[in-house]
Amino acid sequence: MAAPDYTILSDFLTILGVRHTDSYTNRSFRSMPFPTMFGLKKLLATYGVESVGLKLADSDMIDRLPTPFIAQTSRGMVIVTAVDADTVMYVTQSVEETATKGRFSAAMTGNVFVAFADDNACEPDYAVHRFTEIANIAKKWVLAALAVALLGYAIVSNGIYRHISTVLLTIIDIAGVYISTLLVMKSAHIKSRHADAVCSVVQAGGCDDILATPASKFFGIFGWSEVGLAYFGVSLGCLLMFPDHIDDLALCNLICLPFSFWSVWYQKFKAKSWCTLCLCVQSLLWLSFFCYLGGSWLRQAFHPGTGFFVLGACYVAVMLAINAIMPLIDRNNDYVNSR
Amino acid sequence: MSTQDKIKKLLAGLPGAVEMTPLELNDMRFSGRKTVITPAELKRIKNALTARK
Repeated sequence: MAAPDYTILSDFLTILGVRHTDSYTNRSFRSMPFPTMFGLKKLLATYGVESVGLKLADSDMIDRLPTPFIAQTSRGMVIVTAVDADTVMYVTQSVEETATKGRFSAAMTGNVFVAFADDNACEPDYAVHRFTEIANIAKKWVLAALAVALLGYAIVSNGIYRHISTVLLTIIDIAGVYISTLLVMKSAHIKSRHADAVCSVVQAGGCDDILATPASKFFGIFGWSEVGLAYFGVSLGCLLMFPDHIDDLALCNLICLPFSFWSVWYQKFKAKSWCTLCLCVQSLLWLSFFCYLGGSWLRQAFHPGTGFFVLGACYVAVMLAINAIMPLIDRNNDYVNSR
Repeated sequence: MSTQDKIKKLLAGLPGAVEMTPLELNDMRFSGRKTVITPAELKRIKNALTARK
């Protein structure tokens, strides 16, 4: 979801060919008490990389320096990877760029930072850190594999596959969980490339505009994104584990439908902005309705029993749990983040 | 060849260049901003520096 983590230190070590792990390297860089070149020099020394800062009398002399080296401009540091007669290739914020030598040297302050790495240069405890990094990647794959296996087991053992409407409902609920998760992440100010990509389909910045309105919260207490995640999450769980209660799910879906009219009305006439993710949620609600209708599940829904109320309690309990977690994950919550 | 020898050799090929002191290195701070310095940005920096002169 988030962009790959990087710092100038991890970029520099990669270009120097020094064995390192991004997680340890970036953590070390960010935990420097004083983020200066002197701190970077000390950090590089722990990797077995010696370095020196030089003040050049003439910035045009950069072609005489061994690459890579770090060059200072008034807007920040860049890593120069190659210099020839006319061009300078450099890396800025992990992005490779090429500029004419004249333009590059004119923008420099004249301060450069040159490193000398030998073949033995390596991150301290590299093997342990690398193992941890691989284990962390493996954890995500194991989680994904187990989720798919459990989903497959539930579909087969509970006979979800026997009716097209239940198969479609499973897919819709999974899509609902995904879209609601993106909305929750946006509400918690967690940057997500996927959320931004979906949001820009109808109107760039529309999701942020809508989520910033007071109407994005139910009585200012629960975000609608949290309600959506609870709704689709519990619906999916119930459908997979207790498919006998599909009539209760159908009734809950029916009760939620008027919300979609209000949401679209609000976006069009009040906020005058379109939130693509919110529209996706409304569409999924209606698609679910047509599946319940097509599968004739609504016919049995109008005589709710205890199961319906237990299901309702599950929705509320999960929604409250998500609501309680939100302040802990909100990136704009300075009070919690400072602790 | 030791690092000091490498530095000496490097300085010999760079007339007028001097090694920065720890204090000067400490003045080179990382801002923490995630600004991508594109070639267009370099041009803006160059123009700003020229205007200042």
